Amino acid sequence: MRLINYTNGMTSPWTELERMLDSNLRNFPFGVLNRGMGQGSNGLPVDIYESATERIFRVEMPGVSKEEVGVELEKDILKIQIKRSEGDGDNRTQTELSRSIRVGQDLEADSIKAKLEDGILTITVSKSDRARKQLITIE
Amino acid sequence: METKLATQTADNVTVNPTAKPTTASARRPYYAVNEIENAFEVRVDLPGVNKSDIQISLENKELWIHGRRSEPQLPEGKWLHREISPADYVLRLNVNADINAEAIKAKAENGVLSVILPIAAEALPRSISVE
Repeated sequence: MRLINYTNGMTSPWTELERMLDSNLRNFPFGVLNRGMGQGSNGLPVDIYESATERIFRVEMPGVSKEEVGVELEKDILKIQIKRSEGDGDNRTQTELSRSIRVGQDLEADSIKAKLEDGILTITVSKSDRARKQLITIE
Repeated sequence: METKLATQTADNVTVNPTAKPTTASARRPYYAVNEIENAFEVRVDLPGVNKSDIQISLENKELWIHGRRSEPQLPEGKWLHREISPADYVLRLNVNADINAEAIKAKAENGVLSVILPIAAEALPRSISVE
């Protein structure tokens, strides 16, 4: 039996590969897309807030420009997708990051509004009339 | 050549292990340091921090960056779910190079701060011609 202890100065081929990938990822541009999932990040953190008429979603995405963000509400799923293309021809790379949130069926898809400011995307959706009516208490 | 540059970056800008956040609720942001022509560029993720709420100082070779987060303006209601930390950001880095403090430049865009620390002229390598 042969045991290879990579911790004693020897470099595992995988470590080397990871290091190469890492150094590429650490290059510009910086921000949430280059953070990777293994570095203590939970991808795209989301806050959800509710007022009497609206539901508000805040998504943290530093380093992302508004051209790179797509938001869609289909049935009860809100999908936030970030896409970035760099280089061209054979050197073209595409980075993607997305998050889907189940939001319930009480929202008006047509009313969706989104704003990106200081690396935080704020999505505002109105609640449907039916959902608003449910809030009325009977005296 | 690239490897050498990377090593230099690591040697010249190191994390201060004794650094402590100034407030209990502060956290350390994601950051990266790159060496560019005669300067270092420090990039820091500061999502949710307005340009006017970022403070940067360089004192005794310690770069200190503070980003104050403010709660968003929202109509009356309640939080259903929170994953984004409302804590401020504090980053302290030891800069083991002579920096021309007068020429430091900073820019914030989409929640990412970029600070350019130009290396002081006397600290740059120079070639001496033989007469």
